[in-house]
Amino acid sequence: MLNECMPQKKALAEASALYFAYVRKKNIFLLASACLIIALTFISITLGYAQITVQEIYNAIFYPNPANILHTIILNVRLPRVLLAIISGAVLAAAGAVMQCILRNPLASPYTMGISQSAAFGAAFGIIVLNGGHLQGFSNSPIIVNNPYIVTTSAFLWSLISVIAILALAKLTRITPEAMILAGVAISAIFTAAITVLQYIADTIQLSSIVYWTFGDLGRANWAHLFLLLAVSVPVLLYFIWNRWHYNALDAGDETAKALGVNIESIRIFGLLTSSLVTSVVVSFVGVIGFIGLLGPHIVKKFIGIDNRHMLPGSLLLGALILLSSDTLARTMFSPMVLPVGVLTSFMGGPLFLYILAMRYKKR
Amino acid sequence: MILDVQGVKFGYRSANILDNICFQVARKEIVTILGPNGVGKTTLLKCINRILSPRGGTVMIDKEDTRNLSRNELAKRLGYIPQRVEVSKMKVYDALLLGRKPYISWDISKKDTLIVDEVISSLDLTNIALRDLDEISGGEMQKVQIARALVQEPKLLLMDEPTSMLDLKNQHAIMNLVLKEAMKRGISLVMTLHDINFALRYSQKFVMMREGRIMYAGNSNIVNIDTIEDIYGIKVDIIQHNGFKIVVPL
Repeated sequence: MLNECMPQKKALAEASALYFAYVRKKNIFLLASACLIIALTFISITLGYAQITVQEIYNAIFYPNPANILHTIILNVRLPRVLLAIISGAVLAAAGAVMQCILRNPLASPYTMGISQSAAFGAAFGIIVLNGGHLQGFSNSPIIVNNPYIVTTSAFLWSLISVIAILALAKLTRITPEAMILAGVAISAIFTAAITVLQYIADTIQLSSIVYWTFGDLGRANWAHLFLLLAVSVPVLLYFIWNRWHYNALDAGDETAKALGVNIESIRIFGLLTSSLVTSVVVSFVGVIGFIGLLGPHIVKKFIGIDNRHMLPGSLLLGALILLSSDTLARTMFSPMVLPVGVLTSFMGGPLFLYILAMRYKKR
Repeated sequence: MILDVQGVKFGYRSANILDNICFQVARKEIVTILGPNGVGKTTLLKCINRILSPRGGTVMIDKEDTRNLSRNELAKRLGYIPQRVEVSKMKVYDALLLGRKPYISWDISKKDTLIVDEVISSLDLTNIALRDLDEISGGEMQKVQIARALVQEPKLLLMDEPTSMLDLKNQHAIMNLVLKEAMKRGISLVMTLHDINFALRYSQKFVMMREGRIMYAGNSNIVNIDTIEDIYGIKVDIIQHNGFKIVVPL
């Protein structure tokens, strides 16, 4: 009797057993990515013009000594910069993952849809026209935004123009994913032109900062900005993760999602609004850093699939990892010269973009 | 009554697509909606599960007005399988877990995986559980759609042309499977079908529509030479073969 029952029971348990073995592999991937970020954080802080050891980092954090110049460098320069890279990368990649899901478009991201560029214009507008910026005379960081509220608010409000354009196109037309990206090209062309107009109004120091900004710069990291960035991005990232099942349902198509109880319109609109909010805050502090929103999610999808329960946290981690490693490279490759980090991410992201396009139009 | 549709109207701008639709479905009953293309069959299904909002009339599911139910609550009572489904790189098991979406507050529970496992073994899907949706065949895909709807534990299942993408063998295999599972779980079934013979073979009740209205409703006796000519505008003969009523166009 027992022997007859056993195979039946085994067959019943089999599917979920297989599935949970598969899920375990995804969790290992996430854990490994997190460990890599922690390791890279320490490595990145030690690298640079001033030689720093891991022991010194430990001392600086737990026994800070204001008279020690190395401690000052660690606490006020390198650590904020590393954290800014981690948070910005995580936010941009998560926003990209969410946009790809809610627009059902693998090429969507804050950068390719023109949201980053419109936010950058908004931030520049906030500094130059609304006088939200205050200059300080450091030669390597010629502008310090001392009213981040004006600048980020302006960035967010201007980014809404892109969001409205995307929503209108998605709602009113039968636009294909590729045509949507063309619309993004048009939007970013408009705002890049608008930034050029601002450059004529700007004075020399403002000008140099805007130019540097268009390729992304993590060099202006400070603790006040970090806290503001965290205050905005942590709730938004939690909101994304809270909605992971909704995003999964959207992947099964609009009608199925509705039949599964998802209010697809509000998920779409709030997803786009929150994505552009976090993008705007990141852009106001670090400028336009391209392709993180494509690189993070696509690498994760290749490794652990599209289930948002793992894909979203994975994108977050990979985005952080990519921006942190890019910035570390950009800072040390031609030391003491520092490359804008966006140059590196574009060199990686551009080819990936072409690869995704080629895969979609592969001859069968 | 599991489903009670009273006076449902629907239209875009001035055109009426559905007008004064009334019909009822009892527990474990199998109802097929018949009618030519563009007569509003799919629209009617979408009005029942509020993918579209009717202009007037009421839809009651198990004595509850669907207007008073949230989308989530509705999804616990009503499964829907659209005619066209999106394929993606999602795993079959993940696609089935999605059927638990209306019940999930933060994440899946032990109960959710038990239900998914039970449906997987009933529908014999174990060997494709970890395949991607875009790798499986059309017949398997339709089985996955049905499995997801069963995982939802609905009282009523709506299916829009469930067999239109399938070959002859799969059409009958899928329909037998759906009927068996629906009867086992006490689920009522409302579907649209183009193939009248197929409908006559598997369905108990029929709703025949023309230009957004129900013209005839009842058991298989209402599907006859006169009503078919009225609805489809084609002359037919009806013969009996092995106990099945078969419609043959003249």
